[in-house]
Order: sequence, then C-alpha cells, then structure tokens
Amino acid sequence: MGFVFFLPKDEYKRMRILQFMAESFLLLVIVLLLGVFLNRFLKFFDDEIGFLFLIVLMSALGYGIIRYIFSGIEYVTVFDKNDFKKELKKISRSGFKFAFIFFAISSSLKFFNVINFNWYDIFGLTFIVLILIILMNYISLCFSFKKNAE
Amino acid sequence: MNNQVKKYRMDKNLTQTELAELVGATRQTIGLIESGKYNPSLNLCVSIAKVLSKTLDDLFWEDS
Repeated sequence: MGFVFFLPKDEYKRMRILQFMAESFLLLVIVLLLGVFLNRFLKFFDDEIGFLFLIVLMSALGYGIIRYIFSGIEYVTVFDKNDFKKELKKISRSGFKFAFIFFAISSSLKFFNVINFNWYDIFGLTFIVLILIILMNYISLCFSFKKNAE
Repeated sequence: MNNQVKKYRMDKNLTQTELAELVGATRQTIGLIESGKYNPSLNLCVSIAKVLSKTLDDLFWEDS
C-alpha cells in the first residue's frame, strides 16, 4: 500500500487529499525544473544547489515512474501470448524511435555548441537510453500481463 | 447524481452523523452524497444500502 496508511478512512476525504498531493507534486516538479534551468543557463545558484535540485527532481519523478512500472497498470489490453508478442514488437519499435530522436537532439545540441560532450559520449548515452527504455517497458509489460492473467 | 438516500435515512430516523458512523464515512460525505455532489464507491453504496435495509436500485436508480 506504500505510504497511504496515513490517509483518512473516509473515501471522499481520501480522494481529495490524494488530489492535493498530486497537485503539490506537480508544483514541486515545476519549481525544481525552474531551479535547474535557472542554475544551468543563468547561474542563479551555486553548482551544489543546482545539483541538489536535480537530485530531488530525479528522486521524485523516479519514484513515480518505478511504482508505475511495477504496478502492472500500463498495458491494460494484454491478456494472452499473442497480445504480449504484438506489444513487445511495438515496444522495440518505439524504443528505437525514441533513441533516434534522442541521438538527433543530442547531435544538434553538440553541433550548436550547447553541450560539451564528445561523440563517444553521445553514442554511449543513446545506447544506454535505448536499453533503459526497452527494459522499463518490457518489465511493465510483464507485470501487466501477469496482472491481467490473474 | 440524484438518489433517495436522504428519504430512506429519515424514514429510519437516522441523522447524517449516525448513518456516517454506521458506514465508516463522515457526516460531510453523507451530505455530499444526499445532495448529489459526490458519487460514492460501490462499497460505500452497498454499506449504505445494508444499513438502510434497501436495495441499490431503491437508493440510486434514476428513472429516465
């Protein structure tokens, strides 16, 4: 059940508090993104504070993403092996598309001297992104398939 | 969503607070249900139906 043990038993109150928590999380993400942006381009804060903004942002988003992946609620139409195979092909295709877009954007940023990475870094990062995207979606697919089969 | 919760609650001589305690909700939630401003979950609907000794149709069915 995660951290929901502190929520009230009354369902209306519980629903409203969860809405407020979702809104405050969105606000937190916006503020942190703003902090990272201000630090990166305007040097508004010290490097340590900018790094801290990034860590907190990644933790908040990362927790939500990980919970979502392991919840099995992403692939709601996968009920048998055929559905599983079809979805797996889609995951591979979309993973490669995403990696291509990532590579294109990174290369453009390097071309316009916005980032300082060398080509090995860009290729390496693209490869890691490709593996991560496919792996995350595959895990989510497995959990969804297991949940739907129950 | 209109419903008959208030009518049958009053037939049973229950206050909103009493009904709320019996079904594990708050008085505010019962008030919101009766005024049609909140749609309760099926669990809560069934709890209310049991306390008021009515069916879900009696309490929540809307005539077209």
